[in-house]
Amino acid sequence: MKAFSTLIDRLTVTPAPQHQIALISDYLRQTPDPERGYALALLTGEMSLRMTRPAVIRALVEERTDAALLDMSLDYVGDLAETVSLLWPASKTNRAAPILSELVEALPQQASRRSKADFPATLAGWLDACEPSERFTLLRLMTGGSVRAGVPTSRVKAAAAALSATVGTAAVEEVWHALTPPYGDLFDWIEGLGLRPDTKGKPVFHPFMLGTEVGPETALNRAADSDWLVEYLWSGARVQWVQAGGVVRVFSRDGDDLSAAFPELTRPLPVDAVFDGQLTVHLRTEAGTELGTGEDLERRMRRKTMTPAVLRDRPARLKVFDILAADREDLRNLPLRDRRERLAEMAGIVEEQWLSLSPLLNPASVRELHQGLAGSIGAKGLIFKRGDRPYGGADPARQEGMKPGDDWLKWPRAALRFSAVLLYVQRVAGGSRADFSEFTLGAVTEDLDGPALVPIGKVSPAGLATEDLAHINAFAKEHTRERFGPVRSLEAGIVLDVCCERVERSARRKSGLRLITPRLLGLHQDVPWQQAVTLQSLLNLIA
Amino acid sequence: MTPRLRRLENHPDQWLQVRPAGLYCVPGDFYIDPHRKVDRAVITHGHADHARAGHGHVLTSPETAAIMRVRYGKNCAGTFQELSSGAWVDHFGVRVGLVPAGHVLGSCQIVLEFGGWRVVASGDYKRASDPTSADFEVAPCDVFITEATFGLPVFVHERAEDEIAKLLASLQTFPNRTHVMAAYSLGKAQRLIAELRAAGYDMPIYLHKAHQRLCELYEEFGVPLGPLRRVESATATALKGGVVLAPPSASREGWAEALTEPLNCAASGWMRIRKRAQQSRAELPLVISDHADWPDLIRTIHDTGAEEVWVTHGREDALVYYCQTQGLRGRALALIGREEEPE
Repeated sequence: MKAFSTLIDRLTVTPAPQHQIALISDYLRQTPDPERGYALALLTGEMSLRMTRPAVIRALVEERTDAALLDMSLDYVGDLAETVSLLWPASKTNRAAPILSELVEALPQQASRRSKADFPATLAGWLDACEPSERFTLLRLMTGGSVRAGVPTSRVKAAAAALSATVGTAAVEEVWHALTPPYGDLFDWIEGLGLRPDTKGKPVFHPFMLGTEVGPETALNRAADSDWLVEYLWSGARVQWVQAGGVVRVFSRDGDDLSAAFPELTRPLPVDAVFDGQLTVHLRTEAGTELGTGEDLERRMRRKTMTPAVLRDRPARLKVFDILAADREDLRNLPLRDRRERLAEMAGIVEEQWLSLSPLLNPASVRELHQGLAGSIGAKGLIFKRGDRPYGGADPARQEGMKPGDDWLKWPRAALRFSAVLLYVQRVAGGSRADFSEFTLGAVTEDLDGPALVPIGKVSPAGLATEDLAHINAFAKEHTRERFGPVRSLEAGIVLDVCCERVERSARRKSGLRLITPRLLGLHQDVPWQQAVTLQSLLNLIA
Repeated sequence: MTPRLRRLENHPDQWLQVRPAGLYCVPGDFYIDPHRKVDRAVITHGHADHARAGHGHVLTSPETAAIMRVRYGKNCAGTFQELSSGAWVDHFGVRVGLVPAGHVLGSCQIVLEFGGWRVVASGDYKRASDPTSADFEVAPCDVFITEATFGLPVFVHERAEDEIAKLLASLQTFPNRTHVMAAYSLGKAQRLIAELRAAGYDMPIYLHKAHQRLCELYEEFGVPLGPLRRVESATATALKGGVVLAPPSASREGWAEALTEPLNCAASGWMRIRKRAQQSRAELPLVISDHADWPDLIRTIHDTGAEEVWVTHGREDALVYYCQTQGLRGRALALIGREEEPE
């Protein structure tokens, strides 16, 4: 438990992905089976050790501490699990803190009524044997809280792969969903003690084929080349729909299982298949169905429980554009043209409302298609794919010496461009003078007292020239209004040249809008902030 | 003679007062740790919010006097009267003695005897062992004046050697990252160095110029700190995988900007609270403090046998409440000019 809770503590305060990976792989290297396997399951959210409710924990601590001191402490700390972990009276016990395996063994017993009554005593015994940091992790686990510290599952898998010189992250991702905790077979394989775990007949993730962004010149060039096929580039979330042995899974780009959030997509088809496609969420209104925003999609992805109302009013759809396997046959080595034929065949026998085929477009009219994107529903650009190429996921073995993304080229819709006022700057912790990590932009609104500013979104400072950053830094020094830790609010004065893919409405934000993939193009010298974009004109851009 | 009767007279309430400049002893005409210039001051330890420059006469330990001279210059007080712990002076009928407080080098509790009463002003103190400071000694008394920096039951410090083990483990996990430890120059820096040495770390430790003079002073007083180097003259390559101690304000200096992927560490009792640790932006928050944690605060109150506890600064409410539950008279002294944790 100690090594695991120390790991969780450190992950919480370690921002850089490569350092998180180093911490996790160090832990995996030093921890025996099956302990590390359960840790892996908890870090990826594959497993929950929920055994009780916060009220039970509160009752336990109330028996042991003064009520007024408990209240003062809760007030100061704010979190019950953390307060209890620190307040719990130290006791002299010969027992060692429970290890994860012990907790896993105790889990099924919780089902019976008798053990439920005994559980508080069991938990108190564990807490007695723990140190504060262990207690915190234990309490989080017991109440079903996350110990993942915001680390994406792909990073945890990368850390497991780092134990091996030969097995890559993509290879781990590919077998991952065929495995169950505590993953003994995975560690054996990674450490060269066993064979690759068998994934036949199981719904597993396949590494995605990636594309590169290009400009109009390259795009039009490809359109004239008969080796290339053209499709719409759809908005929404890229997912992989996998059916194997009649079991359906929907995987995110990171290889996370989204199936529970989209039950309407998990009805099995007559034959097994693996599709690559784009997931969208739609809003059913009295007038009909319209495409939901990115926010609507994220909200559905985050849902823990599903209700009939959500399925009725916010249905999900899948637009498929590639097929990776059909009827247990791996199609990834076929050229794209052949895969598209198989996909069309398959689409022909499937009659599901939620599934549709992304059509191939006429290469002769790409210019007009691209210009017409603003009027199309759900398309954010065009994509050019080389017809004679296999499906190359991020696995180097499949890539055959090609740079990733050379076979798929994305030509996104022309960006919206406007000028916005810099409201807040955030510095990189411990970074150098002109190292900003984030800017918050504002648009102009008309207030009773004249023009005012409202925040419209955050953007990375990448893309600004060094001298522009130096200018902003000098300005920030003289014109800081307030500081909140590493964040400063600035007086209005810096106007930035901004572009973004599009503008979506957002009920959650004060501005009522959300900028999709905003980028900075440069700094407008000598433009008064009152002449920056107005909020109203941005709201008018919402499609 | 019944002590109770005697005690109704000369109660310390009558001869120890909170005045604008600080805690004042009326019959002795002196202040304890005044935060303004006064004629006569008794100083518990060298931290800036307890030891100020410009007093007429200062009574303190030889170590604290030396620390004040290093920090403020030779003439920072009209006269210094150095008193070793265990020795006493008589001043206008008040007997004054010093007893080690275990906070930093030279830190002392001040024992006052007057009118048959004994009062101990502890200043800042800790009970945990510290190779750079004499151990805290319990001074039995009637009134104990305690700090309460960590006066909530959630403040339970870790053992310093366990926290140092985390730092050493981190140096193994990240052998190419320079571990930059934010530490104030008096006490915290030297303790971290000494704890690292005690754990067997014998590589050179890199110091910021702000730390150098006080480290030398510690060594002059017989606290060995091992090989130390100045960070300003070290190359980024030399610093790779090394340990640097610098004041928190130094992160914008040239040597710090030349580091690739520095790993910022912090050592403080506040690191116990996750939110505070995250706000500090340290990647390695260590719960090491120069102050007593909650269990040690209440243990000390009981050890002194005091019937009355005055709480000077920090989170007074919980400690005053605790004293009341124990049948002791607890009272918050509103002293101004104390910082949250002058570590």
